[in-house]
Amino acid sequence: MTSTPNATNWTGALRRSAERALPPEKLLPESQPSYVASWIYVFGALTMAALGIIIATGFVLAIMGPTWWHHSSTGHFINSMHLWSVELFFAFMVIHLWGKFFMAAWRGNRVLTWASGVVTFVISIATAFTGYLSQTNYDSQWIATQAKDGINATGGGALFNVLNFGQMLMWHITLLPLGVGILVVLHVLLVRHRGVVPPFAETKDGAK
Amino acid sequence: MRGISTAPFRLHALVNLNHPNHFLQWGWLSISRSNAIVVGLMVVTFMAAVAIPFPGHGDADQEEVR
Amino acid sequence: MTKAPKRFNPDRDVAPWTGPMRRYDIAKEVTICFLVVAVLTVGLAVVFSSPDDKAVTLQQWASATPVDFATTAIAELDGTSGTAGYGGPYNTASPGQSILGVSPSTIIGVHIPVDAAKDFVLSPVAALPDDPLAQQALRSYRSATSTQRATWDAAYETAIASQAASYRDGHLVVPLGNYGPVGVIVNALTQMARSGALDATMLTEQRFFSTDFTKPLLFLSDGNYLANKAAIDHLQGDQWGMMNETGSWPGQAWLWLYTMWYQVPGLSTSPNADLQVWAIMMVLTVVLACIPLIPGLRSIPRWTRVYRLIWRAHYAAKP
Repeated sequence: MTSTPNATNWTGALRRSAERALPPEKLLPESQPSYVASWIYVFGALTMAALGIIIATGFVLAIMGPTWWHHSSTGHFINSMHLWSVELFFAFMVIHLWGKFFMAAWRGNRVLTWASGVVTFVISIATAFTGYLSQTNYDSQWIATQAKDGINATGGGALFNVLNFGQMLMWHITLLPLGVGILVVLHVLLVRHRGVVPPFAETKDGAK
Repeated sequence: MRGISTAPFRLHALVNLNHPNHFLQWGWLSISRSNAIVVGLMVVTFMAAVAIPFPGHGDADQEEVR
Repeated sequence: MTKAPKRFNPDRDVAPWTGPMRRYDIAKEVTICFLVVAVLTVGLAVVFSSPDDKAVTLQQWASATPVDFATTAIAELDGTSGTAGYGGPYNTASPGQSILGVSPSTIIGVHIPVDAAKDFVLSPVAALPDDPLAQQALRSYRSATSTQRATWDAAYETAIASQAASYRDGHLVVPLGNYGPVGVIVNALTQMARSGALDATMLTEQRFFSTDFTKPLLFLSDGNYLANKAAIDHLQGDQWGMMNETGSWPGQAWLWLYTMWYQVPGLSTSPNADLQVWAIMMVLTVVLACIPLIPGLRSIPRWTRVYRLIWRAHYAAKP
């Protein structure tokens, strides 16, 4: 089953470039540079773990529909898990961001890794926000009537109507989580592709 | 306003948070006690993550692989 | 590679790592993280549960504070309510907020048409099947000149604002005045709301199935009932309300910067605050994403030397 690389075969070219960018030992390495020795490195994984719980509890809430949790104690418990995993998700993500900032983790061609993280943060905020609008309770009513003024002032309210529950629910459970998911995968692949940023090289005058 | 302030049932939460929040106020800055606790915990966690030694790296030479 | 290599910049470039490697099990790390977060989440859910204040209905509003409801209804009718004077995307009653002379909501125009008088008052009352008095009042209101209507509206607005206005024996009771059929119309709407029929009518105005609460929510937000409840929970815009939650739960603390701008003197009183705050936040978000490219900002990590603490084992190991 040997095949000669064929320059005109798109599939082969795609596979070869993917293999070059992320050979298996780079995608799932068994070792890390010796400087990767701090608890701060764990917060990216913690953020993804919280995202996993959010998605899992969100699946359960989706199976039973948007108003189930008001009248089922199981539903209310799942909703509580959904809420607290979101609080944990943001806490871990922001600590991860602080850590990466103080390590200047964008050095060495890692600008896109940093920027994709920032965009993920912003889309996560939009996802959480539409979640608050989808609670079908007083909180969603109030947040919707308040938020409309901000988004209407930008002209965006014509397309993104925060008072339209059905529309906000759709954004919350399909479009925005899909965006977060794709960006997280891209972000992690970029991290694996470039590797973990090395420390500042120091001379006796300090960092150079 | 009683009729609208309570859910049909409260889950058997060990700590009942279904009462008005406390607010910390400095000049025009205002933050609810629960949000302040969350932010405070984040800062403490960050400092702990930076300060506490990561396990298994005391004897670096033994663990080194090339 | 004909280009000369750029000068090494410590805030942008790194030398490739040639030092030692160490065993590190990513899969194990992720698995442990997942278990820890799962336990934490279940623990927090058991200990603190989550808030769920029931949604407010038009029925509750009109039952608890019928005079506020009627005051809002007449404001919808005479065009002085928040929604009636809103502008884009609901109507053209206001030029909308602008920044540097540009008003995005005006440029985009009306996309979710709302006619406050018709949608919140006249159409619902017209839907009342067995109230000949209300239908008669509607007919005379609709056939009157706009000047006549304005006079009636203004007279009723004065009457309902009087201290003597109240709801007794199933009716709004207001001082006598030259408000023509308006008293009957507002009274019919208030009774309709108290019965719960208005909630259903406003939602199903278009069709049987509806998931769009734009109109009932706009109507609710024009009154004081929703806002008074929000003020108790510190949820209002000038109370840093965006990051707060009902009860004593933590809220969307990550919105602290967005809501902070609304409190800053100057912005807190600006008629264009919403647009200005959005503009500031968009600029700041782009700045955050572009920190790696911004000289000065990207040097902060090197200056603050927090990295010395994070990588202290690495620096200690160096001869």
